[in-house]
Amino acid sequence: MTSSDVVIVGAGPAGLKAAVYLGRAGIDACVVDEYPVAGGRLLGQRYRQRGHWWVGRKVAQELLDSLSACPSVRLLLHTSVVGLSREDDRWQIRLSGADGNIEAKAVIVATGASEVPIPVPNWTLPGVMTVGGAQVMANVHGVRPGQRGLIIGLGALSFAVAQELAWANVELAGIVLPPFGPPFRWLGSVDEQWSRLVHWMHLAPIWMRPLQPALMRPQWCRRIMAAAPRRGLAVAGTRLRPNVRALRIVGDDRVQGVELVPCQGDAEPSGKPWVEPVDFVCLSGGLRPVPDIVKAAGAAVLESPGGLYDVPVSGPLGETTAPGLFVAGNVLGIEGAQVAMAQGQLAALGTVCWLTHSPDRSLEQERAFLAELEEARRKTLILFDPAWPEVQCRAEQAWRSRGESH
Amino acid sequence: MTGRLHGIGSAERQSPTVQFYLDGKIVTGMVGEPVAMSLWALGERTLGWNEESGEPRGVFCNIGHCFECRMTIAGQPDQRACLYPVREGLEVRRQPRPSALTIVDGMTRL
Ligand SMILES: Cc1cc2nc3c(=O)[nH]c(=O)nc-3n(C[C@H](O)[C@H](O)[C@H](O)COP(=O)(O)OP(=O)(O)OC[C@H]3O[C@@H](n4cnc5c(N)ncnc54)[C@H](O)[C@@H]3O)c2cc1C
Ligand code: FES
Repeated sequence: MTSSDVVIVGAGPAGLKAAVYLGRAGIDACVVDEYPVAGGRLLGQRYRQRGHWWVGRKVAQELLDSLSACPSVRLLLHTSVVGLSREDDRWQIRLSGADGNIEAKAVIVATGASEVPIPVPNWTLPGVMTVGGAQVMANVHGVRPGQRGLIIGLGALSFAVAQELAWANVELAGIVLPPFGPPFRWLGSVDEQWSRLVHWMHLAPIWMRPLQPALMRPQWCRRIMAAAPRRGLAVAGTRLRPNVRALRIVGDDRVQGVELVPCQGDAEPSGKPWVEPVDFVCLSGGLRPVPDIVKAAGAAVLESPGGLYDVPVSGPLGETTAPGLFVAGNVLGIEGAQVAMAQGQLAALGTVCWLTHSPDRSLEQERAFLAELEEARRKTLILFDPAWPEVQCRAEQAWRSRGESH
Repeated sequence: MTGRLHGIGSAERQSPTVQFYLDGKIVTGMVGEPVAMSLWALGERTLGWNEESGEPRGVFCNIGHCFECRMTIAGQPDQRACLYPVREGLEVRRQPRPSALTIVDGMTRL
């Protein structure tokens, strides 16, 4: 067994930013990540904004460069954290395989998000992957997901990844709706799926942007989407096909096509199905936080119907209800990488205050970091789900009211 | 290697190659990339078979969450190939397809 003052679980933007802060303060810390490369989901992200490229891999490299100047921090890659428990006032972090345990005074959980897959008949065929899986394949490893693909589901990542695949010269047959009926109820009606498109309007071609105010209004949104031709609207380097649904994936031992059918809203199919020849399929059902080890560690988690919005009860510095256990990044709700970094910084500050038992913690520093978080939120490049601010507000209220009862 | 993308970012990615074994056969990958990515770039799609149904399985989430890419790597069973970095001489094996197959309808189990 080894020991560290602080263990950070996850080397994504939140975990790395927290590590840099601790490292600069000379605190002995260990960052554990199961991926063979540090950077988390930052590695696959790229945006083009007003003629500039924002490349996640470079941002990750900058964080790693800062970290290499911090001798008190070590990085343990390709190692999973499989358990977290508190014994005799110390945290025991159980690692996968023969790697044993690490003992720590404080832990920062920055395990990020996972994708919510959309089940489609035959979705287990090789060649069917989550849309984020295709992003990692193409952008992080430069591996071609296939020759021609199709995205099923109108999630936030659908448009971002469609654009990235277009930049990488990977052909797509478009973005279509998921199949009818259960188990897709949580996606909402077609109207609801269409109205969420408003949040990704910045990815729309210039000529569509004047339609944004109209799309904000459900009846207009419905009309515009219903009027879209079957071949779709040109969006994000591909074609958004809001009047086409996937019925099932076809192929023997790998994807050979997807059976599609024309439809109008939630009504029954409005035409004959056909098989679109593709050799890979990306399922896009959105993202959810991964607070599992926080829960396992005994900290309170705010539960939600279906579990898609489960988040730890947490304070402004990422404090949880368990002593010395902090959280940062997408475990707190789905937002962009800059927000995750700002949260990482706050959790590191919280950890330092906790380690040094300083009750009159640096309020000035805290205010500056909270301002950075707000700034990151304002400048966000991608909005995932408008429900998050409210969920996060409730998680913080729960944390405050817990404080009062003590 | 037709499964590699050229263009954006590829310049940063000129890593040296490594040779490793897939089911005893020598194959090539790029240093440090996950086993599943080397195999995907080589056109391999089936990384294993479901233990009950015998249906083929490939890369699904690509970040360690779904456990669909389980293979025997360096003698250890059930390693996630999407997380395991390739290195020179690494032994990678597909786990055997079950002989008695049970039909599993993944949709009705939801
Ligand atoms: C597949 C995917 C694609 C995404 N694409 C985009 C995008 O294009 N644009 C965008 O703005 N946002 C995207 N996001 C959202 C993304 O979560 C945030 O942008 C940001 O990366 C969150 O940072 P984080 O540090 O909280 O988590 P992450 O970046 O997800 O990092 C978490 C890290 O923790 C590690 N980890 C998790 N559990 C364990 C464990 N038990 N043991 C050891 N290590 C563990 C993971 O390997 C990972 O490296 C994506 C998310 C996912 C899941
Ligand atoms: S593909 Fe999901 S764990 Fe490897």
